[in-house]
Amino acid sequence: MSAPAPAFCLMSATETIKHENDPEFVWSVRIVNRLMDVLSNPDLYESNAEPRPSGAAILAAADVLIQVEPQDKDSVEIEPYSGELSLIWRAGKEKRVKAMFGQEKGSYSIYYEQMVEGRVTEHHLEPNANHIYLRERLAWLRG
Amino acid sequence: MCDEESNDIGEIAPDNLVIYRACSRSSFLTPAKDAVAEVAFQKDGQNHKDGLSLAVSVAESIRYLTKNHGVIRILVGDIHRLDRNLEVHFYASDPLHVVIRNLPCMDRALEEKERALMIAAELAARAEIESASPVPKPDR
Repeated sequence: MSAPAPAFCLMSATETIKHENDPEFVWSVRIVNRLMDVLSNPDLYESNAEPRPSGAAILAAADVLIQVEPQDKDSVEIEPYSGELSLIWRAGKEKRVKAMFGQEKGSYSIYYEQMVEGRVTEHHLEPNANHIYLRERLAWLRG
Repeated sequence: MCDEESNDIGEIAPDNLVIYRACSRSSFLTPAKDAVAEVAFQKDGQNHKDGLSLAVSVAESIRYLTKNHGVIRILVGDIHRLDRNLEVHFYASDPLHVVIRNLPCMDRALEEKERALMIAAELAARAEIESASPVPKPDR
């Protein structure tokens, strides 16, 4: 199986090296490591031929996870699908927010839905997502 | 909409038929393995040219896979009653397998992808877990 791109190496090369006791740095390392651990699991892919998330997608997802609230770092589900990388948050079976990172750099979209008795009653896919939009949707999820 | 091929599409399946889908990836079940996840009903037009295939038995659902992470099931009537224009048909040449037609694709235009995400969620909400662990192939 081909391993996901080395996201941590890319990040380290372009950023100022921080002290290992810096909480922000520790969070960053933990998040990237968690992403890499999950994405290296072959059980999440249908076959060896399935495209893996790109390095750009992994870095973008890590950047998002670094910025969300601590409870959202812990509750996130990480899901690869046909080269796309998704971060998913849920509120029971009623609400879902899904941030999706495509293979191309800058491909970041957010889908959200509300379900009532098994039927989606509210949904939207925002193609040009950013951190402000995600923060709004996560606040909606908890609301 | 996808489903660009329709060469082997047979009769529509009856509402009282239970159909099965093998978990070809572990994420077809939620992390707690207590529910079916939406990704189980996502499809790409590139890989599913005639629709999303399922089987009429557990054994048939795993037959062509080298590995599985469990099996899920759903009632055909629950798919038809969604009122999302979905139809479940038998394959004309293989009555042990069915195909869900008119399911939007994830790899098409934005509007279709949004519908794909939404309908996948509704299907996952109706589907149930048949087995949350790998199902061995029967000895032949």
